[in-house]
Amino acid sequence: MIERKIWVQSLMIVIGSTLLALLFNAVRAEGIPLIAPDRSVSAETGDEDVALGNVDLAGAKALFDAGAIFIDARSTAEYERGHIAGAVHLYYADFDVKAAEVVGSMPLDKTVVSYCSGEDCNSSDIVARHLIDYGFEKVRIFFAGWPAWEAAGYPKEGSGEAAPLYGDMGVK
Amino acid sequence: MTRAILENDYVLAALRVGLGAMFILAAWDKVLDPAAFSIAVDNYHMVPRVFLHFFALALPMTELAVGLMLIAGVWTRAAALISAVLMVMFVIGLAQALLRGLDIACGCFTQDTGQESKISPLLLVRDTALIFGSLWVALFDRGRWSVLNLLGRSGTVEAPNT
Repeated sequence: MIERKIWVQSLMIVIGSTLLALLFNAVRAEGIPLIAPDRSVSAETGDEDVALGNVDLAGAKALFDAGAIFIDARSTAEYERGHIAGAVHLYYADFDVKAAEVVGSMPLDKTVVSYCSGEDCNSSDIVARHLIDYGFEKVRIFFAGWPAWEAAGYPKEGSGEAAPLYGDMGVK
Repeated sequence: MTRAILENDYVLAALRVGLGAMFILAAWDKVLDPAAFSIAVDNYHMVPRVFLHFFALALPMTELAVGLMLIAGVWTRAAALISAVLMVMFVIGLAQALLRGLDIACGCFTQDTGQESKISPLLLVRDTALIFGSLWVALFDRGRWSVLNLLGRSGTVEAPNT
């Protein structure tokens, strides 16, 4: 039904596009590394002065003890059930609307740490990037997030209610 | 009668250009901001981390190429074939995210209702329709009204399935 010539052309388009993409990526400022950086719980950004980086549980605790601001990027209900002691709530999807109210009065040179519900969740990353754009000079992403903090027994606040067992299937 | 519809050059041209425009629009932001797109891909939890950036770079550029080629009518059937394959991929990705209760805007498996942005079944319907539209062009396009033809360089109309 679709002869070989068409398949060959398709393959050439894909290969050609891929090569072009890699070339374009290599020469531009917004280029990204070919291998995504490690995000496991033990990933730590070595350089202290970098604007945006990851911290593991130990790093997050150290920043907590040093008075850094923690930002919870999860939903309101999750935040109310339990969050890192002193953390402010800023749902990742509400950043544009709520940022001024939540972090507007904070000095931009203060270290800010974002977290959400663990390695699988990218809200902390999204909020961190927004924070950098907003003007904060030192933002850290605590990827291991709430589950790791709670499991370690570190300071927390919240109602302590259990999460509902089943969510809806996601059909809006 | 069906054959006449399937091979109708007007329909094929409309499908071709429509699909092409859609791909270019879709690809534009993704080509310009690969970092943001790789987060978006990661939110589906389907591509292994080691391939994530490679995928996030290759896909948008492929979409851009397919879009341009469909509009120009260059290697139309091959571009439409890639389009069909991509749409199948997207449908699988959306369906698995829906089934797993994934919030595709952040990659979280949140149990809470109301605040998250989850997948609308309408997207699945649309993408399935696009699979069929792409296959239609891939199978039956005859190269009429391609840019080359319009420029008068090539007067031939390709017969499909030769």
